[in-house]
Amino acid sequence: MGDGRSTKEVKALVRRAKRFGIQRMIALGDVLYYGASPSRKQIQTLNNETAKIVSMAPRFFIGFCYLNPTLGERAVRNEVDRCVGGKGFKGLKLEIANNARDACMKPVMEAGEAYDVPVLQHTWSQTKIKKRSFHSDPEDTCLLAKRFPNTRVIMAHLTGCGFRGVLAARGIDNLWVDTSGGSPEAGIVEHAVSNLGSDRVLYGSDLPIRDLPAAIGQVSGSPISSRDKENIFYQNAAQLLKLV
Amino acid sequence: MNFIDTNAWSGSWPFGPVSLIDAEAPRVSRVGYEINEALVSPFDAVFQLDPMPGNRANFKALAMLRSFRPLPIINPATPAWKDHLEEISDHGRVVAVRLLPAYHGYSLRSASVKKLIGELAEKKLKLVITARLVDERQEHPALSIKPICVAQIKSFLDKAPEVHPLIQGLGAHELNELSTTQGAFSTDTSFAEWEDTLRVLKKDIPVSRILFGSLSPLQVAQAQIDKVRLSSLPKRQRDNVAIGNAQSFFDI
Repeated sequence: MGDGRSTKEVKALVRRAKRFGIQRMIALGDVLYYGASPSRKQIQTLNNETAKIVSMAPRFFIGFCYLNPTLGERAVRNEVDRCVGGKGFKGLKLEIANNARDACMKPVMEAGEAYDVPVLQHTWSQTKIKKRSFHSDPEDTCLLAKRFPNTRVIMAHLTGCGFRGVLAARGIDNLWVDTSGGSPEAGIVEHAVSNLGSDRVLYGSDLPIRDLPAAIGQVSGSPISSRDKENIFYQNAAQLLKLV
Repeated sequence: MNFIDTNAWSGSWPFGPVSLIDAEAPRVSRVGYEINEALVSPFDAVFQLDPMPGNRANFKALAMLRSFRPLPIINPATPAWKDHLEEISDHGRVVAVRLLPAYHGYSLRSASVKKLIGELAEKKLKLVITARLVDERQEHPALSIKPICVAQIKSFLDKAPEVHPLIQGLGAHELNELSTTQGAFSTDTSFAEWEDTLRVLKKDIPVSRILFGSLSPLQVAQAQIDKVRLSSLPKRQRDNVAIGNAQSFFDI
C-alpha cells in the first residue's frame, strides 16, 4: 500500500467507497504531513495535491481548502481566493495550527462568510490531551461559531468531542458536528441526535486512519430512526454543501 | 457470515450511557447480526479488586444462554487468585481467563502472573489479556488508566514464548510495533483500525492470529462486524477472522 496519492490508489478508494453507497467524498488533504503549523508554500502544496485528487474523480470528490490561520490575513485570503475562488473548493479546513478561540481566526471566518462555504475545524476534548494552546476543545469551536454567526462551522470528530462536546454544541444554529474520529463508541451518535437533532450531525469517516465500513456502521448500527440516518448520511451534507 | 465474538461484556459500565448495560446486553446486541457465539466478561469485575462477585453474577446471567460462554476475570494481584482460579475452572464452559493489568494495577512481568501462567497450562485454559477498554484520550475525567505499554507486552512475550495469549484492545500502530516480537500472540479487531483494517493488519500479523472482537456494548457491534464482513480480504480469510481463528484458539 502506498500513501494514497497515486491514481491507482485513488481510483481503488473511489470504487470501494461507491460499493458502500458513498456518492460524494470531501478531500481534506494530508494536513499533518508538514506538522502542526505548515508554511504558506507547504499549504499551497497540500491544496494542490487535493486539487489533483479531485481532478481524478471530479464528480466524486469535493475539495476543502486547508489553511494555517497563524500565517496572517493576507496569506489566508490569498489561499482561499486561489482554492475556493479559483479551483472550486467548497469549504475551509483547519487542523491544529492554533486554537479556534485565537484572534487569527477572524480572516478565516470572514472568508468563509464571503464565499458562503463551511469551515471544518478539527476538534478534540482537551480534558486528557492538554494541548489547548494549539488544539481546539469542543468549547473552543463552539465559541468560534458563536462569535461568527454568519459562517457555518463543522466541528469535527464526534467521538473525540464526546458527551461534553455535544452538550456544548446545543443551540448554535450555524454549527454541525461530524461523526468521524476514534473507535465506533456506542451511545455517542444517539446522544448527539437526542441533544442536537439529526439535522445537526454529519457523517464523516476520517479516512484513511479509520475503516470505512466501521465508520458507516457506527451510524447505521446506532439506535436512531431511518430518517435520522438519512439526514446524517446524506441530507445534511447535501444541503450544507449546496449539492441539491 | 457467522461470527464468534471474543470480546463481549455484560453488566454495567459506570462511565457512559452505553446503549445496553445489563446482563442481557450480549443477547440483545446480537439481534439482527450474525454473532453465533460470544465470550462474555463482566464489567462488574473491572473496577473491583475481587473479581469473583462479578464473575459469579456473569455465570448466573449466562447460565441459560448456551451461545454465550463466560470469560471470567482473574486478578493475580489478590492473595486469593489461586482459589478463584479453582472455582472458575470447575465451571464446565470456561475455556479461558481474562487479565486486566491496567485496571487491577499489576505488571505482566510480576511473579504472580508467571505462576498463573503455569496454573493455566495445567488446567488447559487459554489466556486473554485486555490492553485497553476505552480510548484513553476520551476517558472519563475521574480515570487515568494507561493501556498496557508495548514494551511490557514485548517483554512478556519474549520471556514466555510458549504462552500465546490473545491480547485485545491493541491499536494498529501497536500491532506494528509488536510485529518483531519473538513470542507468538493473537489479537482482536476491537481497537485496531485503518482503512480496510484487516488488509493493513495482515502486514504485521498473520491473518490466522486475528480474531473478531466487538467490545460490545462499549462499541457499536455493527461497525465491528462490518470491519470484517466488508474487508477486501478473500472470503476464506474473513471467515477465519470472524469465526475460524476463535474456534482454533479456544478449541471450541
